[in-house]
Order: sequence, then structure tokens, then C-alpha cells
Amino acid sequence: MERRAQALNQSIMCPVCPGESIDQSQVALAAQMRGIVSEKLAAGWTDEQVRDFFVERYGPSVLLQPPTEGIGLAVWAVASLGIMVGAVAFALAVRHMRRRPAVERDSEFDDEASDVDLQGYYTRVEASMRESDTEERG
Amino acid sequence: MVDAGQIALVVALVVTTYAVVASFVGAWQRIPELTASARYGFYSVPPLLLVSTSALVYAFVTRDFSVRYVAENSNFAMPHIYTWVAFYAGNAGSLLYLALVLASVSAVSVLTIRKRLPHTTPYALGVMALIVGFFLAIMLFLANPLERLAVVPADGQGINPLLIHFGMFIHPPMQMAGLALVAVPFSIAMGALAARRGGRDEWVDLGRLWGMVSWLVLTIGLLLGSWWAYTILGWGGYWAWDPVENSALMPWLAMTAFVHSIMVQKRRGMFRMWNMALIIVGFTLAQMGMFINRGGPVPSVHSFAQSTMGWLFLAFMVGTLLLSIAVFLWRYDSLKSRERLEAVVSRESAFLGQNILFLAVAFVTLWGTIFPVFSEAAEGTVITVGRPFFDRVNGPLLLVIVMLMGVGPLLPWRRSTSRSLIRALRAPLAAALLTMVALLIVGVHQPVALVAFMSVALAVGGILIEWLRGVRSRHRRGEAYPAAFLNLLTGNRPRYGGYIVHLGIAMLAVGIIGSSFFSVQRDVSMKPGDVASLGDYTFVYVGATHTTQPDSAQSVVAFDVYKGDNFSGRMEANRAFYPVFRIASTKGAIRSTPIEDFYIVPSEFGSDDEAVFRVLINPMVWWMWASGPVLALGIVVGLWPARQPAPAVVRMPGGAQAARA
Amino acid sequence: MLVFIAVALALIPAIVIAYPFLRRGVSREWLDDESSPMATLQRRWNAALDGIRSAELEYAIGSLDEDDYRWLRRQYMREAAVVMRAMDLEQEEQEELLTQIESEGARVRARVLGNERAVEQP
Repeated sequence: MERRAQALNQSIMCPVCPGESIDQSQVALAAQMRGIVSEKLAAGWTDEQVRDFFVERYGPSVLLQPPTEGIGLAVWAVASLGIMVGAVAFALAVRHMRRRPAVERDSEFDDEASDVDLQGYYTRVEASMRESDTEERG
Repeated sequence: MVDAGQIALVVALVVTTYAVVASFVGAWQRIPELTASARYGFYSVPPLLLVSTSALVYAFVTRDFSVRYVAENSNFAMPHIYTWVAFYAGNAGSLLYLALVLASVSAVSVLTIRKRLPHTTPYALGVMALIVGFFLAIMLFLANPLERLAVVPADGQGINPLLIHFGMFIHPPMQMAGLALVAVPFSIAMGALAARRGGRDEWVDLGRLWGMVSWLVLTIGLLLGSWWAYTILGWGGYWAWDPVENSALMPWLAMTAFVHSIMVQKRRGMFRMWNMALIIVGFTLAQMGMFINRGGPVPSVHSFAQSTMGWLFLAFMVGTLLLSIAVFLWRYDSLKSRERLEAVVSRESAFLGQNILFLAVAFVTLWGTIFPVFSEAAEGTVITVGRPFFDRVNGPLLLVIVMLMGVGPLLPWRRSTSRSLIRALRAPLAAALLTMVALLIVGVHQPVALVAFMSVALAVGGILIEWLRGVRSRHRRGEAYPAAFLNLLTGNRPRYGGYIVHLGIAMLAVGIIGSSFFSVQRDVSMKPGDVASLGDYTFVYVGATHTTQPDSAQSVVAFDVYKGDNFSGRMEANRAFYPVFRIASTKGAIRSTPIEDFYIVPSEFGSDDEAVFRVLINPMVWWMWASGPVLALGIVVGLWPARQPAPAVVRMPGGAQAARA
Repeated sequence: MLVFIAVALALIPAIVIAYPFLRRGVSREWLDDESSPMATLQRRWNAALDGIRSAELEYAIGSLDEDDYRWLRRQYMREAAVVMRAMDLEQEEQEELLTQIESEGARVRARVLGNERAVEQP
């Protein structure tokens, strides 16, 4: 019972303190509304009936969770659409980057920079790495 | 003194305007004297604003109520220490604060980029000066913090009581500074783009540096804001997906994506366009934050400086967005990257996935935040989009992000075969499974929470195991354990800085998961002497003392709290009512341990000493607040300047000549 | 008094702004160019070395498979070597090489890496 009341409280907005639920708000009206919620639940109302009760009194904006019909549906639909677009974008981007030309061979340059040619540079790269290593420690 | 501040403000605007024009023209026409002059001029702006700030502080301290802002935000009863809060509590003052911070940080950032990005700097400086100039212009023409009143009131109106809280000393300035700071990496990126340097990755190191600085400030701002909400808003929670919270979260999300993806450009020369787009999005969202905070269209508990000038911020936001898109398209060609993604399973693609997820959360948050405005425009009915929506849509996304945090750092750059993957994942996965078993034994059966905790364990396990192995492998090469640990850290600062940040995020996640899944609460009505219990805790309502202060009515309630059979102390909560503001502020009594918080807050006082209390047990919340210092440490380690690896150009290693021969 | 303050506040920035125009000698504003071939090569060098280091670290820790490690290390070593070679070239040639890198990055990388296939495949 208490849990149900709490869940309901969290889904109903306090009409005078925008953005806060009646569970959260400290103003008198919210406390009063919390009272109504537990009263109605004690009287055997369903969650739906309690919500409708408040909607009737304060309008649809009193519910913190947008409805899944009418314009409220757009909230959910666009949000899910956004996530799906993100997923598709990820797949497309990965595919695009994968498709970039793979390393091609170029015989002319091959001669220029053969492995043997680079061998001297390899030694130098190793040497400068060792040098910076010792610097790091010292 | 106040007049001197006024003059300084005017001079600052003139100098800033000059800096914008001179910097752009000088860079465009290649006139070195002009760009140098713009730069020196820009350096003089922070001192000028400091003069204005001192003038305002002086007016506060001397209770000079002839200054409108001072009269509206302080009174004789206000202790001098709150001058600091009052300084940014109102609209005009917060603008001055923003301008001062932005101008100072921009000047410092120009000092750091000037030598290394000589061609980019003038353009970047022009952008920074433009943003500072916007604040200065608004201040001078619309919301002057030093404006005089025609009739001097006898006493001021006083400071908003909700702001009288320790968190308020750091949270709003941090938050505002964070939003302002995003302008720095944005300006560097735009400068590089305008100077046609964007494509060649020149700006990446410094963009990353300033991106991380602004990320850290935003993070600390958010944490402090949650902490403030937790301790003073008196409802037992810390985050409610309120529009202002969202508007601070969105730039943080974009910047989180940015500081990750910038690494891909640094290491691999990829994601050039993407990084530009991300920083543009981040800056736009930061401005959106300022707009919503400042009298935007969506009401919230946190917006404190309501005014219609929010719309000017919106216009500025749209303007800068369009301009940066224009620059982006103009330099589109320089942003093309030819680097190939070598494998789908690689660090690069993990980063991309992370980016998309963060942007998705940002998008959902943005959409939910602004939707009420749309629905009102479209149908005339306001649809509230509140916590249930965000929990339901962002919750799973955040869960996936935490999972990715466990796996991503274990993926090597460029490519990974399944064998490497298994090798890297084996031990952390075992840790995660162990955690699950342990949790099941302890009695945690919530499936979502289990998965969430497992993901955190995966992340933490991966980091700690790698750390351990790193130290061990150094130890095997003959280093003592402490030395091995330090050398490992100093030799790979960005890597381990990032890991420390991840550990901080894991702590944050533990707090969020624990408190969102396992929090229990109860509203109880009690008279002095009554005993009630919640979970393991038994509490006795000792009584309330009501006192009347000049500005408020204070009620302090006391409880004797027992955990099990042990007396764990007397806890006091406090509720204050400020008649002038008609605001009640509640400070909950919180007994915080790493395992759980026990939280009592008075919600109503009825007749004959009866009072209603809300009592909560919030597990693990402690970890959220503890994560702040860890995050800061991680950023510092990650940004600590490492020595350039092997200055290959300056000093050729010994074998150079021989190799050439 | 106020006039004095006003003049002082306005004068200081004015002097600062005017200073670069009055200063003698050649401006050192754009002596270095962050986009110079040398600077770009230096960045590539740093990236390649970072790559080698992290590959070595990950291998030492045991999260990288032997084959992957060899492959990665060879890639990065080659990049570093090629960058080093380019640094040895004359300024002019560097310019040329970089234009190629910029305009057809893939092709240059192809030239650089092309022969690796030759090593790998026979």
C-alpha cells in the first residue's frame, strides 16, 4: 500500500511548484494531495482512478509521465526514433570508415621505401624510444 | 568606487569589441601588429572586470543600497560572508561573474595556445572575445549590476534563503563556470577551423586539455548541485530530471563524448568532422543551459535569475550555432579524413559507440525538456514530461553506457582478434560474475540492478586487474612495488588518468544504482516520545524547538536513532520558514555511511506537537559524493604534462648519421 | 577624482593596445606555423610512439594476443620510421610529401605500407 502510494505520488506533479512531484515537494498543497492519494487507495481505488481524479481537477499536465496517446505519444515516439537514428548512424559510420580504400600497393614507392631501406630508421626509432624511457625514470 | 566599476565595465566592452575586430581582421589580412594588439587588449579585460567586481563587492560590504543589485540581493541582516553568494545570486551579478570567469579563463587559455598554435590563436581569441563581449553588452544595456536606484531604500530585500547553504558557495559558481568554460575548447576548435588548421589535427592536444578542464568543472558543478538538492530540498533524492538539472546535464553529456572522441583524432587522425560537430553541440547545449537557467520557457525549482532576457541568450545561441555551422561547411574539405577503420571491434569503434550513446541520452533529455513548449504551441495543452519518462528512456541507455565502460577500455586500438579479446576480458568477466554471485547471496535479486552492478564490477575489475598486472610486470623487471606503481602511472598518464576517472564514475554509478533501486521511504506522523522504525533503524522523536529569528522561523527537531539495538546518536533536522520570501527550507538529518544513508526530514508540523516526517534509507549515496575528488584526481593525472616522447627532431639519437649512411 | 580614475582605466588598455604598433623590430607573431610539415610530422611521430607504447604495455599486461601485438607494433614502427625518414628530407620534399598526405592520405599510406603486404603475404 505505502509503496503504491509512493509510486503514485512520484507520478503526479505538484500544480503550484512546477517540475516537482507531490512526493518531492514540500508545500502544503502537495502534502494535502499525498493525503488524498493514500485516502483514495485505502478506499480501494485503482491507481488509474486516482490519476484520473487528479487529471480531472488539474488538467492533463498534472501527470509527470506523458500519456501514450494523442500528442503525448510524440514524446515517446521521437525519443525512440532519436535512439534508432543514433544506432543506424553508428552502423553507417562504421561501414563508411571500413570502406575507405584499403592500403594499396604502389610499386614505385615500394622501391623507395622498402623494408631494408627503413631498417636504419627502425633502429633509430628504437633508440629514441629507449632514450625517452631513461629520461622518464631519471 | 561604484562609478569606477561602471567605467571599467564600459572600457572592458570597448576593448573587447576592439579585440574581436582587430583579431579577426589581423588574422585575415595577416597584420601581426594588429593581432598582437588585440591579444594585449584582451589580456586587459580580466583586470578591468576585476575592478567592476571589486566595486560590486565593495558596495555589498558597505551596504550601499543605492545600488539596485545590492538592494535586491542583500540586507543588513545578511552576514558579510554571504556577499560571495549574493554576488552571483541575481541575474546581473551572475552575468558579471560569468564575464569575469570567461574572460580570465580565456586569457589564460590564450597564453597556453599562443605559442603552439600561432595561426589559430587570433581566430580563437576573436571567438572568445565575441562571447565575452556578448555578456558585457547585455550587462551594460539590460542588466547592469552597478545600476543606481533613484530612491535609496533603508534596507535591502535580502538574499534568497535557499541559497544559504554550504553547497551554494561552490555549486552555482562551479556550474556557471563549467558552462562558460565550454566556450574555450569551442573557440580553439573554431579558430583552428577558420585558420584552415582544423583538418590537420593541430588543435587536438589543446582542445582536449581545455575540453577536459571544462568537463571537470561541469562534473563538480553537477555533483555539488545534486548534493545541495539532497541535503536541502528535503525530499530525500538528489536528481529529479528537472529542466534546469537537465540543461546542466546536456552539455556534460556532449563534453563527455568529446573528451573521448578527441583521443581518436589524436591517436589516429580520424573523427575530424565528428569532433568539430561534438564541440559545436557541446557549446550550443551549454548556452541552452544558460538560457533555460535564465528565464527560459520551462519552469523549474532551480532557476534563480528569472528574466525575459533569456530570449536574448536563445538568439545568441542560435546565432553562434548558425555561424559555426557556416564555418564548418566553409572548411568542410579540410576536415576529411582518409584513415581507415581497421576493425569493427576496436577502441575506435567503442569510442564511436560511446559517443552515440551519450548523444542519444542528451537528445532524449533535450527533447523531454523542451517538449512541453512544443505541445503547448501545437495543441494548447501542456504535457508534463517528468521523471518517469526520463527514467524509462534514459535508464537503459545509461545502463548500456556503464557496460561499455567495462568493455571499451579493454579493447586495443586499431584491431583486436577474438583471442586478444578473450584474454583481456577473461579476468574482469570473472570479477563481474563473482560480484553477481556475492550479490545474490546477500539477497539482491532485482535483475536490472544485478546487471548494472555487474557492469560496474566489470569496469572496476578491468581497471584494477590491468593495474595489478602492469605493476607486476614492472616488478618482474626488477622494480620495487611502490616504484613500479608510480612508474606505471607516470609513464602512461593519459591512460591511467582516464582509468582513475572511470573509477570515479563507477563510484557514482554505484551510488545511483543503489539509491534508485533499493531506497526505502516512509512518511510517519509522530508526537514527541513516539517510536517508529524503518528497516534496521528505530527512531524516537525527542521533540521540536521552535525559535524566531529576525528573518525566519526555525524549527529544529531531534531524534534518537538506534540501529538494531545500538544507539547510533542523536540526529537533528531543521526547517526554516522565511516570511519575506514565503519560502521554507528544510535541512534533512542525514547519517551517512558508505553502506547507506539514514535520512529524516520534517515535512509538516501539525497541531499539538504532532509532526509528519519523511524517513528514508538511501543505500550507497555516500559513494556519489565521494566520487568528486577521485574524478578530479583522475583529470589532474591525465592532464599532467608528460614529457614529449623522444624529441626526434630536435636531437637525433646517436645512430642518426650512421643510419643515413 | 572620478575623472582621474576614468582616464586611468581607459589609458591602461589604450597603451597596451598601442604597444605592438609602436614596438620596433620585426614582429615574431607567426614565426612558427603549427601546420608546417615539420610540426605535422612531429604530431604523427608522437602518435606513432604513443601507439607503440600502449601496444607494449597492453602486451606486457597480457591483454594483447601475441599476433595482434606483433601486427600493431609493426604498423606503428613503420609509421614512426616513415615519419622519421620524412623528417630527414629537405623542407621542399616534406611539403610535397605532406600535400600528398593531406590530399590523398590513403595513397601515401598505401605507398608506405604497401610493401608490408609484400612482407606479410609471401
